[in-house]
Amino acid sequence: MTHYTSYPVPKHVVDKVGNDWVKLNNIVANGAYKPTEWVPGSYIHSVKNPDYYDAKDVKIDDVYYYVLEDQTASLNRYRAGEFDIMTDLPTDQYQWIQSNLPGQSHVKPFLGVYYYVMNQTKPPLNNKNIREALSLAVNREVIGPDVLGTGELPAYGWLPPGIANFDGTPYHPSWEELSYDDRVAKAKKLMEDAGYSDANPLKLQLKYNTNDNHKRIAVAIAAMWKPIHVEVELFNSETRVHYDALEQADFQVGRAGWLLDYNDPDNMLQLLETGNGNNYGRYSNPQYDALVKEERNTLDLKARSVIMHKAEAIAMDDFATLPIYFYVSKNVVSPKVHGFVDNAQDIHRTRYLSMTP
Amino acid sequence: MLAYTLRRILSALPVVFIAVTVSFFIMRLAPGGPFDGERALPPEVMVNVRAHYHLDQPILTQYLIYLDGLIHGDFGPSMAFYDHTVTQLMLIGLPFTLTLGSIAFLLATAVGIVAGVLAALYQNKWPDYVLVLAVMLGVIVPNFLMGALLQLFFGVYLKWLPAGGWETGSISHLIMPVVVLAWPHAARISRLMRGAMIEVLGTNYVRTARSKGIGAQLVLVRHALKPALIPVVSYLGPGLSYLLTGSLVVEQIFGLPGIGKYFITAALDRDYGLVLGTTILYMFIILILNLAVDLLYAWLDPRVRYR
Repeated sequence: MTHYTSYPVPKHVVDKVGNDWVKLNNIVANGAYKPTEWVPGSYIHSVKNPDYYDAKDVKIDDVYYYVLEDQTASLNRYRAGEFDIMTDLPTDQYQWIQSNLPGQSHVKPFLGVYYYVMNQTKPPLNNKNIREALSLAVNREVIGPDVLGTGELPAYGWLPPGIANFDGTPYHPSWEELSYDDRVAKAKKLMEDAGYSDANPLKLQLKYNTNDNHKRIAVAIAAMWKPIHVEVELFNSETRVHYDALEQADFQVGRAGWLLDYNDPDNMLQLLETGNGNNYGRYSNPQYDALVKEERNTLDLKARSVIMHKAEAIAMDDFATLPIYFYVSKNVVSPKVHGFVDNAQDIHRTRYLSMTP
Repeated sequence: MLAYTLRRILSALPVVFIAVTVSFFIMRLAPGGPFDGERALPPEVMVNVRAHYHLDQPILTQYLIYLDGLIHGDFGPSMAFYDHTVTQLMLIGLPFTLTLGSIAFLLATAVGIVAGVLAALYQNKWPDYVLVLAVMLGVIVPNFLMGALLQLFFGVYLKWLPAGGWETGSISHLIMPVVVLAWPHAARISRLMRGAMIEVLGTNYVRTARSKGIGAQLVLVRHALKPALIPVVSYLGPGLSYLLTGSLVVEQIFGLPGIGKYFITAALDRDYGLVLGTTILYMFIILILNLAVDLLYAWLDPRVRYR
């Protein structure tokens, strides 16, 4: 219910002007700020709303939100003092930022999962053992610190740390305690049992949307899969084309990511439900579906948490997807800004911030 | 001349029509649509969305609906910026891009001509080398690098100019983008000017004028400049097209609210309406300016007369 799709709209304005109610001269704001200028694709200018119930505690009077794609240009403008907060940072300059702008970068765990989907509608990935082999051979510990450089945490389970309404120990697969070499040996055996070898490798196509980081990870993982008799063809395309292919089940292994809309495990669990539009791998397990339905109807939070643990375990033991890392939020915050508190959803409402001039 | 102008305008219309049709169908051929993203919309919602934008109709019907809208001056809704129509978006971005583009164009042409003339007059002496090197930097250094370097030096280190962004009526925000945009254009103009001027200065009629005792400056302005401008003017048409494409990069680096950004975003987001709108716009600008350049050409060279 805290999701923006269920916010109330002002009926009297909508009745009067229809879809134009969002235009600046019509829109009704009951929050801490109201927009006064909006150039689409460029920026929004908001000013403090005097009618806000807590207006006396809102310190900042004017806010400009800019939309920019070029991260290096944004960093230049931040350094020139034109921006106070950057909500993303160019990862290839992360080391530089840490050394030259000490204390200003904030890289913290964030509710999101980066994973590979495996298309289970046709061979060979409908074979659970092959999926298991692929997952075991991925050395997740190096992806965050070494491949990306920003220290993302490895993901062995489906639910990110810090998620609400979920207590108890996080999911750990039984093979997590094995050393990486042992895992590779186990994976190799699974592949050989399925009939693959150096003379007869499994040819897989790995699709990802065009992006430097996705490429680095894909190349690293392709190298990790080579010793277990897998030959990878890398294929990248624009984001829209990529997701179109995933939706059409036109892929073997595809890169995907999911940022939680709201802070509850159901938002992740529904991704693996039969028939869900975002279940690109078409994973289907009636036991899993039944548990997810059950947790939705369970009011007692403790009992619900137990059910969700069970569901996650089933999906992960089935190797429904290949989670790789949990996202981190990246912000660069000027020392002039106060009240910026890191949190798992990366929400930083201006109304709680203040500035020293 | 008037008849010629009218004929040119009329013959441009089929070109526009063909370009619109080709763009329309090519966009639809590209894989991926405006609503394919990281989140799949629930099927019931997708049906509604597609119906709203007529995407569920056969492609020819969509085409005719679009043409009908065009004739009435309506470019349709934008699918990426879904609270705005394409017309509204273009009205936001167009004045800015035109301002940026025309200032850069005029500045570059003026600087290029002056640099070229001076380089030709002092041919093979030090002013020639210095001027040629200065303008050539615009061609050697690609515009995205030039933009980033200027932004760093003048915006971050020296803090003499704002590093980007735009405030209405501000000149200081325009200085760096205009310089980055104009530099390569000035380089090409000055090269053409220098070459043409050297050639003209060696012609018989110029030597005749000098031998009659006319001062060097008068010879330059009255006899040499006009014919030497001919190759320059012929280049201005395509030169403007290069300039407009350069503005896409400059607007990106300096975060300027021009059309370039909409063009790129729309193409990547498969926002059919916005891509077609910006394509048509660029086409019109180029066609009109090419026509203006051709008319200017006739004025400069009395041997050229249009029938």
